[in-house]
Amino acid sequence: MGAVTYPSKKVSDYVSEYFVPWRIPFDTANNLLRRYNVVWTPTTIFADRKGTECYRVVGYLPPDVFISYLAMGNAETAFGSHNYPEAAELFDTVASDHPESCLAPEAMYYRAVCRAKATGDDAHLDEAVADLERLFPDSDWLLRTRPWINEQG
Amino acid sequence: MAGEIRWVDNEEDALGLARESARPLLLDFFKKK
Repeated sequence: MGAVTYPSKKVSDYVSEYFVPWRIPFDTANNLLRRYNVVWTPTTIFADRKGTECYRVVGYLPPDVFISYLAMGNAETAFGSHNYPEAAELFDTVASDHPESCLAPEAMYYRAVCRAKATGDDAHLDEAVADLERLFPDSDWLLRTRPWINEQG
Repeated sequence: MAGEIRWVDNEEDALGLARESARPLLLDFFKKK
């Protein structure tokens, strides 16, 4: 990650704009490894302003793929902080800007959850079901919407 | 094209900057070579 992915301008620009970047050496004497239960490198953790973990990525990813995970981590951090309007926008960015990513159906699911929580309008859940049926009919994220259909039908 | 990230290397600075800037944290656990 340090040799290829983080030096990428696209990645470094995104990291610098949206996060406080903190590098932590994998040293068994480091208490942070135990606190965050990190057992492998590279591990990237997205945490709220107090340091509470909201999302993690384990393993190397090239810049063009990692950029979608940065957007997802940003969205998950807003979601974990109960900032649903902002999280909805960020999940929408993942789904819209990275439609080929394996993260897209997950982002569509959470976009609907955040919109529903932000507005109190469960119609957003119906939109997600329709979008997932159309674009990702084989995704596990469509299966997770089944209770929404049953509850409303 | 190469970019540059200004990493912080300690918890106090990381949490202080996160609080001041209202930005979340990205923690990169890496193996020293």
